[in-house]
Amino acid sequence: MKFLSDKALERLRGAETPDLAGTRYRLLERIARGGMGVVYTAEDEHLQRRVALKVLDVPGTDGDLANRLIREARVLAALEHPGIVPVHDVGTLADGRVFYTMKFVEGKRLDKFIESVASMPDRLRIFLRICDAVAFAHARGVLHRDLKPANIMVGPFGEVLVMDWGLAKILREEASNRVREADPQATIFEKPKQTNIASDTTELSVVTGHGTVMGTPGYMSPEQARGDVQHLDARSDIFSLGALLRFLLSGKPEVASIPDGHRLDKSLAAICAKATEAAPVERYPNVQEMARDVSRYLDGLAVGAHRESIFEKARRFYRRYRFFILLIAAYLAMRVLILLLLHR
Amino acid sequence: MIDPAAIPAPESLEDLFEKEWLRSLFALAVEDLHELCVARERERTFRLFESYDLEGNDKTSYEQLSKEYGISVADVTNALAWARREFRRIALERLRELCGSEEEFQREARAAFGWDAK
Repeated sequence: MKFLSDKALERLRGAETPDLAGTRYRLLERIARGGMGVVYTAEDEHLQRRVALKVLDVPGTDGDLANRLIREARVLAALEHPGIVPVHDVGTLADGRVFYTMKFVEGKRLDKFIESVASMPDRLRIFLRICDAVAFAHARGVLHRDLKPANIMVGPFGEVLVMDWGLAKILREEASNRVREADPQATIFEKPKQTNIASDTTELSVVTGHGTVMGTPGYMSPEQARGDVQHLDARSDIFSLGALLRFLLSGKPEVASIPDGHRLDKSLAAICAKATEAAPVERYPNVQEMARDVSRYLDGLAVGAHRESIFEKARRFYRRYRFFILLIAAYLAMRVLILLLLHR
Repeated sequence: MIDPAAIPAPESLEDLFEKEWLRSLFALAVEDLHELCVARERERTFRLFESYDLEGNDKTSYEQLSKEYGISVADVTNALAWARREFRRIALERLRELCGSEEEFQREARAAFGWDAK
């Protein structure tokens, strides 16, 4: 039996490390594992910058996983928006594994980031930026289908990026064409057939009579959970956004999980409730409408999702114009005081 | 006299055992790989694997090997990728034979290769 040196042992342990020979990238470190493969940081030696490199576990360019990774890269390439992580390159490594590189985001996942953001308006502003990115994708005919805190990154300068478009669904032929324009060889899948890709315990993947269920419990719409893939539309992502908003405000995506004694403001609770209605038709028709309600709340205005009582209206009016109301009250009090002093 | 400093701590003894266990597992897998290469008439692939992964140092490059063996760099890359894949498969097969359960296998595979075996 051949004696293996320590050096050989180390090399053999890394036998599955992507072979980047012949590429412009140099492997730096492994940062995450997803359902399909592993994400590393690598250095782009031509541009001398750090990138994130996502690579499949298995070699081959024509399997379902490879198709999904390539499709994810092409979807990202078609969605140029400051809130969507940009893709730089896609290809096949010398060891036959498909990879793509994207911007390396040196930030925190949303669930970790909000631990340091106590202010509710700040959390709502982050939410609005997520809405911007999702609305942009919807306008391009792309559904994310896996919106959850773990898939949102917040950068060191407050930039908010929606990540992991591996479950994205292309809704319209127009969007399909846009992806094809980016690469004429692109394959567009209306209904991904991939199964058994979720090694992450938080991600669910089950085959049903209708199609494949992929998403995350708590954030996945009921129709997505049923595997009704063909009838999914923007309102499925709106459900996830509602759960995400609830998570931002209460720390949990579901209503039942809101801790005792922790009550959401009625308007915000109504926005979450409307976005997460079981029937898609009861939800906001599009992301812009939902974002508008959140913006109106931030501006101290009435929201469309909640019909206010007269007391609530008065309280909101007071909150919004508190400074002027107090100023006028102080002025009137002063006038009364002066009148009383003069009539003594 | 035994120098007390030379006696390894229990933790390092455990590490030492793990390392030696892994060394023998990998050595067996390398032997199997050699046999596979011979059976498939891919001796050159095994020699490349031996030169680069088993005996190579930091200065050994694909380019150097390509010149040495009179083949293209792409051929070296493909041969090494094949050999590593087969090595990993064989090592995991050996490991599976040695483990009593799937859970134990996954744990050992993670310890050997650093992540889940598939």
